[in-house]
Amino acid sequence: MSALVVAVLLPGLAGICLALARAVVSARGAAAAGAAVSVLSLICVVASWSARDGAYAGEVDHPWSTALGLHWHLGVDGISLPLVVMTILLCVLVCWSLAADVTSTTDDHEGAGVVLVALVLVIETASLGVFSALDLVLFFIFFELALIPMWFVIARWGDPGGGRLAATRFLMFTVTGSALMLVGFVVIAVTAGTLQIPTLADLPDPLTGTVPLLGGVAIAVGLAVKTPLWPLHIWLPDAHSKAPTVGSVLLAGVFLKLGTYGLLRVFVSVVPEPAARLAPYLGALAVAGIIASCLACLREHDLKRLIAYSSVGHMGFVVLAISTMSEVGVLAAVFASVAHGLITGLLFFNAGWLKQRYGSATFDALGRGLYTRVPRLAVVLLFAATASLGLPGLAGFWGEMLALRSTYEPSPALDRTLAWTLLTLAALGVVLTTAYFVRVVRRVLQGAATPRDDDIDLTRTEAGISAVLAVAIVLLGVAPGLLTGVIEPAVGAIVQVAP
Amino acid sequence: MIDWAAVTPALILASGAIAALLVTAFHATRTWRWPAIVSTVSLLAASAVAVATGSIDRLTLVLTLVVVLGTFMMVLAAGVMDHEESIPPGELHFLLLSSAAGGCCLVVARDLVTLVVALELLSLPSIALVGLRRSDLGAARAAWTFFLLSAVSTAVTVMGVSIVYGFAGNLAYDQVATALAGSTAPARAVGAAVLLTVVGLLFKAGAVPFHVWIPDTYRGASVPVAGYLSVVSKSAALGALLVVLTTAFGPVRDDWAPVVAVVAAVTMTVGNLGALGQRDAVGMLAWSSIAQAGFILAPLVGLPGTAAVAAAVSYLVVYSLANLVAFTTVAICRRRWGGTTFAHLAGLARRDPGAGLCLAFALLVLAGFPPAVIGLLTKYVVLLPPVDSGYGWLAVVMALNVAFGLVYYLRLLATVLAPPSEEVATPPPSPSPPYTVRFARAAMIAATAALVAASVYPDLLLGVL
Amino acid sequence: MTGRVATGLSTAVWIASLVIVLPYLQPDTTSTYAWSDGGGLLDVTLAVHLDALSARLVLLVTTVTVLVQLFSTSYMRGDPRYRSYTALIGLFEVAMLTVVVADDLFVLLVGWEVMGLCSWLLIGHHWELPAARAGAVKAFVMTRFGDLGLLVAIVVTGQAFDTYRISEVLAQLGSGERPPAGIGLLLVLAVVGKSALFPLHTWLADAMPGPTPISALIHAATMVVAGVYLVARLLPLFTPAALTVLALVAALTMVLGALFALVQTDLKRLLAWSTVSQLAYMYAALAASDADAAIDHLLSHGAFKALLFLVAGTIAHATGSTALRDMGALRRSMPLTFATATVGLAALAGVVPTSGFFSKDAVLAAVQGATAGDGPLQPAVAWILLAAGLVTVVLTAAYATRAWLLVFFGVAGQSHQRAAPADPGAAMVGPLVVLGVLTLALSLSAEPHVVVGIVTTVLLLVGAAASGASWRAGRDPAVLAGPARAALERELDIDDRYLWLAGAVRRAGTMVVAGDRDVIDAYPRGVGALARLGSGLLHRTQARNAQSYATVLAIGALAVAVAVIGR
Repeated sequence: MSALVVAVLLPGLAGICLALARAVVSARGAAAAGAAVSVLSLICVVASWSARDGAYAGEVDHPWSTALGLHWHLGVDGISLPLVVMTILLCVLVCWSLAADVTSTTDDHEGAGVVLVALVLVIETASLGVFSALDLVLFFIFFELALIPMWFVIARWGDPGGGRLAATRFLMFTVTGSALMLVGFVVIAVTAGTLQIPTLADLPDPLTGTVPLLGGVAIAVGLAVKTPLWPLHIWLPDAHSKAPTVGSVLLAGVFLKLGTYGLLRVFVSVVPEPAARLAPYLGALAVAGIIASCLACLREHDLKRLIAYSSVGHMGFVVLAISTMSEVGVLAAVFASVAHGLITGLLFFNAGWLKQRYGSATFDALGRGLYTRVPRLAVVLLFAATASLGLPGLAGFWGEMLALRSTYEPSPALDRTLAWTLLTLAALGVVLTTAYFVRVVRRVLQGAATPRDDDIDLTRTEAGISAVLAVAIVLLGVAPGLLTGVIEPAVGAIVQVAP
Repeated sequence: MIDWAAVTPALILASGAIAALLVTAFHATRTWRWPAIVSTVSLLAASAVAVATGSIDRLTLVLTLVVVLGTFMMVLAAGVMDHEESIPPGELHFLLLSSAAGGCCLVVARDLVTLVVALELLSLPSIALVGLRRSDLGAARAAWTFFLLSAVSTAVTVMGVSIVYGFAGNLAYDQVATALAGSTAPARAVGAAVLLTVVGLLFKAGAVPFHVWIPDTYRGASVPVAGYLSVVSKSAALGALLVVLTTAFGPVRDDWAPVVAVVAAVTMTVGNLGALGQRDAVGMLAWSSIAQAGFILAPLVGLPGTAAVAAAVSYLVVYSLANLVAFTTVAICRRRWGGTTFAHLAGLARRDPGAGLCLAFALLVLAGFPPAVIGLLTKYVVLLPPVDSGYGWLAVVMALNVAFGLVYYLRLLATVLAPPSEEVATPPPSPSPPYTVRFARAAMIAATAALVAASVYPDLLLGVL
Repeated sequence: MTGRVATGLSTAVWIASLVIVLPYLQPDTTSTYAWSDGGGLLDVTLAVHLDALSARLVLLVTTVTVLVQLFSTSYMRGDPRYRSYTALIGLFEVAMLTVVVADDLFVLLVGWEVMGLCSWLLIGHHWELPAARAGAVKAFVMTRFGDLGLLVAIVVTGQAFDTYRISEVLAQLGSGERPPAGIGLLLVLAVVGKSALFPLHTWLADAMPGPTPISALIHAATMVVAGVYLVARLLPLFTPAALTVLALVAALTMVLGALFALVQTDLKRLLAWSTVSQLAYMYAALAASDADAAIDHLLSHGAFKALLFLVAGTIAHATGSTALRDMGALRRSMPLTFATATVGLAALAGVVPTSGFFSKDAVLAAVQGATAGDGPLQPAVAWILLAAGLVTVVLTAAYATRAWLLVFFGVAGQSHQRAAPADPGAAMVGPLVVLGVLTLALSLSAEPHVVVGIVTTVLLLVGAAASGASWRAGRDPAVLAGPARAALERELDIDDRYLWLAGAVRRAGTMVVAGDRDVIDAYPRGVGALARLGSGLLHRTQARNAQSYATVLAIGALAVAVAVIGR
């Protein structure tokens, strides 16, 4: 059994064990175990990556169902490795924050804290599975596996008011989308006769014609819901803002990446010709999303909703990059996905901590002058906002820059006039992004402070989590080559590399 | 000439039915044990014979086993009613086995008269089963409704058969197929005849618009009987439908396939809509079984060949197992907590982890969501034939209905996994449940285990054909 | 303590930079180091480039930073957020140095935008004040809008030249490669934002609520002058079209800035507008393709503008206000400040023999040279530019004289409630003296342009005399603006356009929020309602009545048959 299989399955199995043993495990112990298991999983990933030979590290390919041509086919390449590592990192941090979370240990239902950790671990396995699956149906299974645990996370640990509704809406949107995606997969399976992604990506004559186009549309719609692409984003603000902190972090940090990764792995690479025909629409919607979400952020009065909307904008840049179907575009998409995971993860951690202190994340509840009241927390929020608005020298910049660059020099899939129009509008989105984050800083961090009793600065755990993410953000910001060096050799698996 | 391989299981079941009735007649007191033993033995013997002889072909063997083993499970599940004085055990087992014998005949039928007769043999005992509970007005009314509608649908079927006979001049499936292939009869008339012929089967299967009896009947019947109707009776009808449509009416597929596609689409949508408002597990499962019938019908529009049949049969097998588990757990819940509403099921996973987890898994299978991989894969499988044969719209409708269905499955799932509600009284202390309940639990766990195993090794169930 | 450490550190940086860059001050000494291989799709190289141009900028930056840090030890004493303040100055310096020495355009961009961040945070240092918050936001958003021009220009450059290394791009241009027209225009957008040129000029004056030493840093050595440096560095990338745009922007900006400065009632705002005007001079030289003149003016402006802002800080420290009406008659109470300020204002106006005289004349000489039409600039454009430059000389002299008179002469202002204003301690006066000496010393190596020098001196005298005359008549020399004074005090309401734009964007945001709620969200809600409705209707058909069921069934069978037949 490959180390990669262990890496993927370990967290989920550990989660099931924890859930079954919830009577005898404390929430804190479970969270510690979850972190430990995730670290083990990371070690396994690193081990299989360093022992790689061939296109995919740790590749396993066993027939699973001969009746369906379904394979147990996993492997990690430069496109997926960054996302895999980011997912594990976020899960470790989430477990860490759960271990220190007092409310989870004093929950009224015994074992609830343990179950939350277990759900997080199952979600981790599902996400790792998506990022490493090389079989369409296996991809789909992992894609769906994460949904119901996430529904429980939002519905049971989210806001008492509206949490369940938001969770159900999230689920219905993504499930509807993924069901359509399944139809797309069926179309591909029927027309190409195989489910293996590497084979499909290397078909001697790629799928063309109406039927694959319709399949491509189905896949694109399914992934667009997940990403989310405007106007299918409407589930996102509620889900992100009503979810508990760990849920928001995983939703924004990991779940949205399932969509963008899917667009690369099972859309652009598998149906390149239909994808090229759909690229202009994707690009236009992506930019519409950038502008619309930025405008919405300017009027948003709830920090968590604002961050949620900002994710729509950032994902817009990723989709824009993907729609160029160029090498730089793929590089941009992966880089921006990873950067967004880290940065928005930090933002949601921050917002969650504030919400924990003040009971709500609305601007009115937070008050003014956090710089004086909780200086360290405020500085972390400032840092995260700065990174999110794409300041050069921090991780967020390179993704956005590469996205704009790919739009300047797109593949023939995107008409040049259209591409440059999109480039201009997307660039305006950068200014608007600056504007709304500056607005947050002005409204919440600055201003005359009225100290309160619940002004508690960063705890040790919170400082630790912030430090880890901040280091990662700065590291990728000053040395983007660390990441691009990993991604670049695998770009050819997604788009045709120019000779 | 008699094909003994085909009819032996049905004969064994019929004999067992009579034996089960007789053992109670010779027993002075009310006894549950003896008819149950007789039923068990005859059901196991029937399945052994079916496996040994291999029935007519692999398809028929699988369908026979679904009927026989499904009945077996339901016999075990019915054990939870042993304390209900209003249920006569002898009659119960007699009727179950007679009906199952009808089911066996139905799936091995290879001519239209046999089909009609077998359909009646399947129906009449099950109508009696619905009304079995003495002095229960609701049950009697449900049985009456069932009976009336059953009669109407059979009448339509007989009409269809006669028209088909008019076109084909024969009633044996293969002869009908040959005759229709070379027939110059107007295609539309043939198509109408075909559909009228299968109305009786669609009625048993619960396809819209022949579904109206299902919610009332399921709720009126006892839970295991509802389970029997949803698993055995429905599977037999769908199995027979598969056989008759692909063999006898295969050559005129183009005449009936579009209508079947519409029926499938409407069936799954209406079933889901109906299930949406339910707050009672049996009512929800009743409507959900309508929706599931739509998914089983859908692949029939696929191109002729084994792929479509295999898809439908795989789905049927997985659906049957999951519904068995669901109805058994609900039956157990009803025995322990006295009801089947969501309030009674709330927190089942904590009060009774075995039943709760099995029900949760069964619901995931029915919804088609991981970790119940097998449920998802069968959803994938039934999508293949429509896409392959150009019914893309049907595939989209199916996909949307998969999503739609999740709403109510998830609602029950969340209820089962939620903290227990305060309204449900803690059960009276019963340190050792009676053996009947333990057998029912064993059946439930075995079926769940089969589904779990199939989730790990999908070929166990997907490769049956 | 923190201040001393910061000053020590910046001094160390200053000494190190001196040691490193001194050899490069000789012409034709250049070197380029690259620490990483920029290959691959990202193609970013960590590379530095040093030549006479960047060496001089390095010296300016490090020198001004040391002086600002030293000045701040006294000026900001007791500030609760001194530590973040001084650390940000350090980051500011590093960012500017990055811009100056970067050989990779992306590395340059990193420094460029980090400067924007630092200016935002430092302008907003007194974030309890609404004006400081608003000014900081404005500075950041407006400059970031301009920064997009640079970002896109870099992207276009990379595609056209297949490299992001400045040295390689310039080498290709040297061997006859033609630059795409768009790059220059995009770069103009970048510097219009960064250097607060028309039409993005409004942020610089609104940035004045920031601490005064920060203004000195921004106006003299970082941020706004980075734009000048960028154009000087990449001048070969500018096509005639881009240079024409730059020339027109510069011409308009220099007159506008000087006019605004003439009527200002606040010393710091006055200085801010003078910076805008002086920056336009530098761009005028660049538009005339004379980078040396631009950089010379940049350096001399760096010295005297840093000096003037520190003077303003000293005065504000002493009088507790930056409004001109609160000053007056400070000549006697603050003699050292008066002396250095006189040097600074003289240099601003371009009085012989300050460095301002020589560097401004060099700019005007360059523009005059361009009127011959043998350069990339059309003669007509060059003439417009020259005329604007000469008008600005008059205006500059007028407002410099006005400031000098209003601050140091006449009667004392109203707000001298505290102890009588006096020259502050060495930590604040020291930097003033050093900068005053530098302002004079920089002229030592300068070459005079005799004709231009005579013309400007005459114009200067006209402006100063006009100003002096109206002051002597007991009126604020701002009356020189005549009927336009009120409009100029409102800065021609140009800012209202931006406020309107911001309002429009906010309204668009409200519409998007409403659209999400009422339009897009209506679909899922509608589907949900439809499902519930359908479910309800369905349950109504379940009448529990066998007869009606049988009817449904019969009709169903009929419908199916009809469907087949009527298909």
